[in-house]
Amino acid sequence: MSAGAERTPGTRAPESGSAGWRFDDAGLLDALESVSLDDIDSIGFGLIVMDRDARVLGYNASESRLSGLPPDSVVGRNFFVVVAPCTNNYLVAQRYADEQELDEKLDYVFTFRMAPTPVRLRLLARRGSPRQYLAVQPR
Amino acid sequence: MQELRTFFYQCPVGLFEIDDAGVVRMVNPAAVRMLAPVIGGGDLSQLFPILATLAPEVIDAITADPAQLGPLAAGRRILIRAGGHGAAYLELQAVRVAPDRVMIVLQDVTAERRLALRETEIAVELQLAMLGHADEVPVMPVGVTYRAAEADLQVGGDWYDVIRFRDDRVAVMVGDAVGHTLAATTAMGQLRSALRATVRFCPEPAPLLEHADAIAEQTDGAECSTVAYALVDLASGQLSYASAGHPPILIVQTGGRASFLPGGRGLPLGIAPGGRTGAVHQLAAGDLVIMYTDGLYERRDAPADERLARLAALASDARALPPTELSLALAEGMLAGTTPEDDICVLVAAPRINAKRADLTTQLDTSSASRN
Repeated sequence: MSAGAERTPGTRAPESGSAGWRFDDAGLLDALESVSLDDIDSIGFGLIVMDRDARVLGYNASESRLSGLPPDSVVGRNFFVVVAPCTNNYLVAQRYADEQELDEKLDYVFTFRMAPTPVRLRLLARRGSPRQYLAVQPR
Repeated sequence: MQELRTFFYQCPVGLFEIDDAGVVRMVNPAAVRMLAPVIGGGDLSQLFPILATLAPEVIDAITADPAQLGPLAAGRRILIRAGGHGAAYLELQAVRVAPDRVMIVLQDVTAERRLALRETEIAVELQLAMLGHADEVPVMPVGVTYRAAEADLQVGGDWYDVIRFRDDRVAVMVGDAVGHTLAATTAMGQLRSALRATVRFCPEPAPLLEHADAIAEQTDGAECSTVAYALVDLASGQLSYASAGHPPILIVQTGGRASFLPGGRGLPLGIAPGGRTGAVHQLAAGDLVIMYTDGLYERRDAPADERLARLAALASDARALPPTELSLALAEGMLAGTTPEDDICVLVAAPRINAKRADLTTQLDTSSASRN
């Protein structure tokens, strides 16, 4: 389930500029681990960077466009409880709580502006890292 | 507007607005959080496919009459199976707030349900403890059929007990505390356990019932309880008995003759203390001793003596059955498909008279070993 075999640094790594990263890149987690919060706005899909307590550290421009929420209304809040309560269940939030190392995709529905919005989620976390990530792409 | 949106966004109750065809116009995060396991890779643009698997009758309620405003469905329980994460129980309501606008409200009642189940478990356990465990006596098989009148009670005001002595004697009683509600159950439980303790040092019928009078006077709700008591000596076949306002003990002989024991009668417990009298009956080998409560035979539309005659006839006809089966046959035969208005307790004892004392001792030992 996790992309452990594909995570070897150097193989299939995303392009060096974050603007070229794709949602399905095999090495996405490696790339995210070293990305600066200043560089996340150029990423073409929605990205939420959290600490390991799910407090939002970074909320990129793509995600902000999708949700209609300005980043400053989101940063510092608990993502699963306050920002996206629809994910506060065993399918999403519980995965981060249960698993130190995580790279999994699933189809989900977000409720941006109270409208059902089908999205594909990628849940990402690296053991020992102070950050965890949620990538979001409309489907 | 932003405040209103935040209000619905953070609302812990799941909310949908759909049109009459099930197209989702609005949905809040709590609704997705609850339904996510069944949405899967779907897009949630249509709610009816999801309702079709969870609660199809809600679709019928929504589509039946598009002109009907207000509540369409309420209190529907939906079970969401969440893989290895247990099950969630949702309660669903549907309200048509305006033409072609239906609000679906989902509430997660898993915790309440778990609590309610636990409360029921506790209540049932307490009730069964009130009725306690009767002793098992290998040389006197006993079968009991017990039914509480109240649908939500397992145990009512009726009780029975079997108490084994170290010698050849066994005490059997069937009693009935007034009423069949929970109050009767608690009175019964106290009375039963007090009598069980008293029988140990006072097994003779008349003195026992005199003690029972005093106990009933001291116990809330126990006054006017009735009880039939029998002390069976398995070596001699002597049955000593007494009754406090209770219907008579029925004896069925191997040949089929069925008769009610006439003696040892007295008033219900706690009314006129003192001066109980007992009686004695000689059992023959193979005799069945049947004790019961009035719920078994009392009917508003039939005289008691007619009903008791029916009971005797049924017992005679079915006497070859083992005790438990016979007790069930009597309960079913007397009820004849009607719903009981009072608690019912029927006890059938099949004492093996003249069982050799040595046999009795051996079997008692075996029995206690196998149960411990």
